[in-house]
Amino acid sequence: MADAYINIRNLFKIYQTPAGPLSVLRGINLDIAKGDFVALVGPSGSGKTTLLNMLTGIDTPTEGDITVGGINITRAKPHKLTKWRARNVGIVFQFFQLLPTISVADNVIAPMDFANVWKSGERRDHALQLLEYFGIRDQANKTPTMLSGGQQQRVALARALANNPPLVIGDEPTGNLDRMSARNVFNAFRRLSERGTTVIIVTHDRELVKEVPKVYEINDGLIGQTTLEAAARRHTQELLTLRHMQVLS
Amino acid sequence: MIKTRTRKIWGDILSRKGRTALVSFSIFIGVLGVVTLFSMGDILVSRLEQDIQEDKLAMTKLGLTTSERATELPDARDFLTMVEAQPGVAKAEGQIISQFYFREPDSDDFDQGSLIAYFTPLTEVELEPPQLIEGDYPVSGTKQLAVERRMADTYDLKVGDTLVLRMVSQAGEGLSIPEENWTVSGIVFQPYAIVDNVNMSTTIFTTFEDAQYISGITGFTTLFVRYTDFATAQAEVSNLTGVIAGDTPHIPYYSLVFDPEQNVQIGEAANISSVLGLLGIVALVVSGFLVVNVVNSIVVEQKRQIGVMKSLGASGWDNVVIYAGIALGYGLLGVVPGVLLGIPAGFFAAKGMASNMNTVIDKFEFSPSSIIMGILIGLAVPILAALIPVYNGSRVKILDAMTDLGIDSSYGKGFLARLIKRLPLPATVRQGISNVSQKKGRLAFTMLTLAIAAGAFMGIFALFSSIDSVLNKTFDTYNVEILIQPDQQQDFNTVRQLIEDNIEGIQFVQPHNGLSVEVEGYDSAEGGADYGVSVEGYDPDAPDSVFVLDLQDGVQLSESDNPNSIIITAGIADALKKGVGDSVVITGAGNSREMTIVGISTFPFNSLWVRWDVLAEFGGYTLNGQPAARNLLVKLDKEDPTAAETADVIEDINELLLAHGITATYGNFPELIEEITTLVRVFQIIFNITAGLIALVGALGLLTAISMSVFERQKEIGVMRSIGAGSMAVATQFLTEGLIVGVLAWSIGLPISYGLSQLIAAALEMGDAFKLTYPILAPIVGIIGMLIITAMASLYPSISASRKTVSDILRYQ
Repeated sequence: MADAYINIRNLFKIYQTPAGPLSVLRGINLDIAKGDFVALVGPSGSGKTTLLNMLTGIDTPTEGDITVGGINITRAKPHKLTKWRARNVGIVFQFFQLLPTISVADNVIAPMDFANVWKSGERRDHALQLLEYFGIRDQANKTPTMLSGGQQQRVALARALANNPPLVIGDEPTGNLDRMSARNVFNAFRRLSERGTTVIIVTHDRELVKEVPKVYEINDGLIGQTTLEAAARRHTQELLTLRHMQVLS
Repeated sequence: MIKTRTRKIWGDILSRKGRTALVSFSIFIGVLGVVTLFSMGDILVSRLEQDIQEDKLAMTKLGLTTSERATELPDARDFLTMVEAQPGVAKAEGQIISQFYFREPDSDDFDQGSLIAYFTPLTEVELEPPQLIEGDYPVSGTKQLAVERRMADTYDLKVGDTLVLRMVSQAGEGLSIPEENWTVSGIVFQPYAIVDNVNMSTTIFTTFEDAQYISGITGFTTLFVRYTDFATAQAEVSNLTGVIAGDTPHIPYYSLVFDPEQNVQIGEAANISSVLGLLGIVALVVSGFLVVNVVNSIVVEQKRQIGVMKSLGASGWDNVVIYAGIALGYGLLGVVPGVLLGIPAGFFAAKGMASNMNTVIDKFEFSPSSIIMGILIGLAVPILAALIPVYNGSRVKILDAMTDLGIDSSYGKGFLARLIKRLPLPATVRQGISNVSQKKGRLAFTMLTLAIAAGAFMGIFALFSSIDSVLNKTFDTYNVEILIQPDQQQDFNTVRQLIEDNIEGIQFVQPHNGLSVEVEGYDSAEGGADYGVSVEGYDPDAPDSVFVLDLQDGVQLSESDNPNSIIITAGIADALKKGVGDSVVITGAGNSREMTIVGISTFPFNSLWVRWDVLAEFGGYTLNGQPAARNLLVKLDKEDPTAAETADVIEDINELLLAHGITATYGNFPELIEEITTLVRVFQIIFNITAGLIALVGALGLLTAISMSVFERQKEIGVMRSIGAGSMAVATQFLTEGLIVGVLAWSIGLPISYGLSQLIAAALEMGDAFKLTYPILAPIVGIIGMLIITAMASLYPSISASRKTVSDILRYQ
């Protein structure tokens, strides 16, 4: 795909373990267009999160290249990567990862402060607009621990969008939420994609993944486009177990 | 960016209020100590430096008495002119310093004080002059006196008030001693420590003529001399004493040489405050170890948050600023109250110590340099302490932060871990030991904190035990309670008989002479002063000797037939490399004599002992051509009489002697011992408070470390609880952890305490007399104190751990 926003070429990741080398990614090639909404599925240990970490520049490949928006992030220096990530990537984690000692609004302001994208006088207003958008404007001055899981994840989403990044990554973003909250968060991702933001999520949620336009299955370090049904046929037991765990938590 | 950092810093500081309080409190204690102790020293030293002018200090002070040749003393001015004609002498001034008796008009009882009179008019005194604060200097013949400001404060005296004085000069057999009303014409301040035995709280100043009228003393009792320089003073003092002894009726019985550039008063104040201030800095540095542990713990706790912030675009520098900012926040919270309280505390400490330094701090003062030092050190210590954990935190990688399992994969495989597993101890105790061994960095800092605290405490204990030992040895050597020094030479046997016949409770009265001499080949100078070597002349043949000399070699004087026998102290013997049977040459009062060493004494202060009659002949103390005792030493029947009881006997003796026309100066040994002991105790308390502050900081360090341990092990506590562990089992684990750290710290503190006691002793310039001995009691007291401190510090977190329920922990997790 010549005009792809993300190009992944021949990506390998091998970890050195006491038991010997462990190949997690074994020659991944993938193109993702701007505005794509992509889901990565696959069994535990298949390399989904490793691939996400490569896409955000958090981890480096053993071999291969990733280009995002024309920038080869596998060859960028760490401090350049920090700046790039601040302005170009919004990350949503499964366990929210909000900073617990500052307010909800301040959590959303933090990436703006770090990236210095917005004028300092505008940051708070922008943060409040984002919180308004996610329906939690009234929670702005509370600390994250005072919020429910669904509310915390919406804060995390607002934070991820603080600098209007062209790429939003979600690592199991609904994995720790009840059904209603998961649906709300998923809808938020879909709206982002509709607005032109590239969205990539890792998920085990069969219901939601059905609605994702592009689903890639990673299996044993290799990737292939699939449908959830196809993936589910191969990993029924694991998906059931994961769903069971999500319900419990 | 600044806002997020600031919000994160204060958010973290405020989110764990208990931990913040502990760390800030420990910094507060350190800052308070530094500001208070340095301020105290600075205020005292500044005041002394303002009041004591180097070019007005005497370089030589001579104590004068008169020989029987003194039927008529030379004219005082001629005498001073003769002294000023001696080589190197730039200025000479003479004084009468004597005892006097006074009472307030509405009181019946007379108090004893010191009367000081300068031959030079008070307005023209050049050597160590007093300063007129209020009123006027007294005028001769008008029954006027000036009181020292400390006496004015003690007795609430004002210009124009009246004091009733006893005219002891008119005492005589069958005569009653007249009393006269004298008016306070002025209040003066004497900042110079003129001579050791003057108590400024009972000191008056009169003209020279009036002093002669009051005391009956006609000649000088002291002579102050300033030479062209200190080296000349050292070289020429023996010539001066020789000339005075040979050419005048005066006998210089002591000679002191001082270096004006190393003023003893200022030097002592500076030394003490420096040592105390350094201990304050130690307390602050110890609090720095606590900061290391806490920031380290925060960084470990927040590893995931660091990763998140980095994933949001925070740079390594942002994290450095945030976590160093937390340390700075702790510093600020400690520094602000520490400085604010340290300023008045320093003033009051200086005010309290002023009398020990012979000065007065009356109006509020503060030390800007000490405040700046407290602020700078108080802020620098936590920031510097936080640098390494902060640097480590800034290097945390996002991936590591997100995937950290909190424990190394090699855990449990090391030798120590395997050894602990096999210890025949209850599981909870083994777990406590295991906890200690897991966090080695934290263990090291917590132990170091407590080890320094234990070291300071035990070191100071050892130091003051050694001082006590030296003092006790000194006090035990003197087997007397009262020294009587008649103003005029008296027949010893007559006075003794008088006392023994009229005063009850006297065990014996014996003759004594004292003289300061030079010993050939021995340098008695210490620091900026040379007090010479004191020779004590006594009667060794008396059934009960006034000196109980402990000899490490040789025999007592009583066992030697040679009249020129001498006992010297081990310090002099070592310096001269001489022993029993060798000879030494002593020079003093214009004479030199070769003496044979018969004994080596263990007495701590370098001194010499000879027969009193031999010293009388040597020093010129004669009466009717026969050796005379200048002093009488009195031993009371009562065992260990108090200062007050001794004072009562002195009063009786004084009345008796005055009734026979004998005026005298008295020494009350129990009172002297009480004063010295009190002074030592004051310093001991100050040092112990400082050590206590360090120990408190150490205890806070342990409290924080165990609290962190409890916090980190919540899940472990939950698991233990869920498998049936009771409160006691959980508490035991953390108590064990605290006690193990305490015992390890104590063992490290042992060598620290020895080194520290040596260092403090050296810094305080304790002199040759002081021999540091390390008492066995120090480590015993240390381990008891350490166990108490560690048990107390571990108790709260242990109880808090034991109260955690499974549901609390799971809810938290």
